[in-house]
Amino acid sequence: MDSADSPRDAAAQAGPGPSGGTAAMPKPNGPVAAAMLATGIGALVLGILTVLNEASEGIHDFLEWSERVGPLSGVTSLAVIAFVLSWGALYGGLRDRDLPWRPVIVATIVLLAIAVVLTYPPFFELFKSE
Amino acid sequence: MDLSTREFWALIHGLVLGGGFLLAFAGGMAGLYSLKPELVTEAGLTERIRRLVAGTTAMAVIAWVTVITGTWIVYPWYREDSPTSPRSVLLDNPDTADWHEWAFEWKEHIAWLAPLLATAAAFIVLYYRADLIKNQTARKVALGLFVAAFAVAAIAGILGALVTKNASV
Repeated sequence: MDSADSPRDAAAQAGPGPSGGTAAMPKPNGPVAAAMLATGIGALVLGILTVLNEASEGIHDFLEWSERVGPLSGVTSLAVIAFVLSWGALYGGLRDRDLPWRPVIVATIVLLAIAVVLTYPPFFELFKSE
Repeated sequence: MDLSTREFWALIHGLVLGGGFLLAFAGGMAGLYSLKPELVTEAGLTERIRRLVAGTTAMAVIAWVTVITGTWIVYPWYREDSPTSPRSVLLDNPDTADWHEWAFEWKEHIAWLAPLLATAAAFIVLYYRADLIKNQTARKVALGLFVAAFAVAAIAGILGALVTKNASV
């Protein structure tokens, strides 16, 4: 995959569609970039809050939105809120833009990889408060 | 033969939704992988995209319902402050404590990445629809997000099944 290609380049490489007609100008990939980056941001917020929940008694109490569910209620709800809000904000800024794929893909992978590390118990338990 | 309320919801969360997730993944994966101009006619493309939209959207919806029922319905029973709750039973025995401290603690967090990834994959399919066949980079990105969503859900599902084998709700 040459991820540096813009969607317009990709369409030019692909040539005409199955009908054999002329390829129309493709949609900009800004909305897709917004969805990808919002996924990474939501995941990162999940990871950061998981660590903060272990590190601070005050944050642990704040995150306990439901007594039955415990702090996981606040951690996951805030991650979903971050996902939705960042998607909306990024969509508004990027919807008409055509971005190179590579930086968007790399940024998304990096954010997701950090989130996986932050939510891994042997890592977040390093920050456990006494 | 009766199912208790807890057994019913554990069944819905783990088996019914898990089975649906697997089915939607198989359909979406086959559709995304083979969406190449040389393999699809124009008439076939319309039908293929309809199935792809259904498969990827279903997987995203199922992923959301699975984590919401797991966190808000089943998890409180798992963690309740009683000596017979699965969490207490696992932590009471040093030989099984890791099933909570490592397996369940990881599962309860990482599972929430699945709906985020599956939603992004479904959005790409819904956004491009038939144009996805002309944009192979977007198709590969959707495929990557889709497979990542499945991988994360598989980790959470396997850990959940293993924990349940040691102490069930």
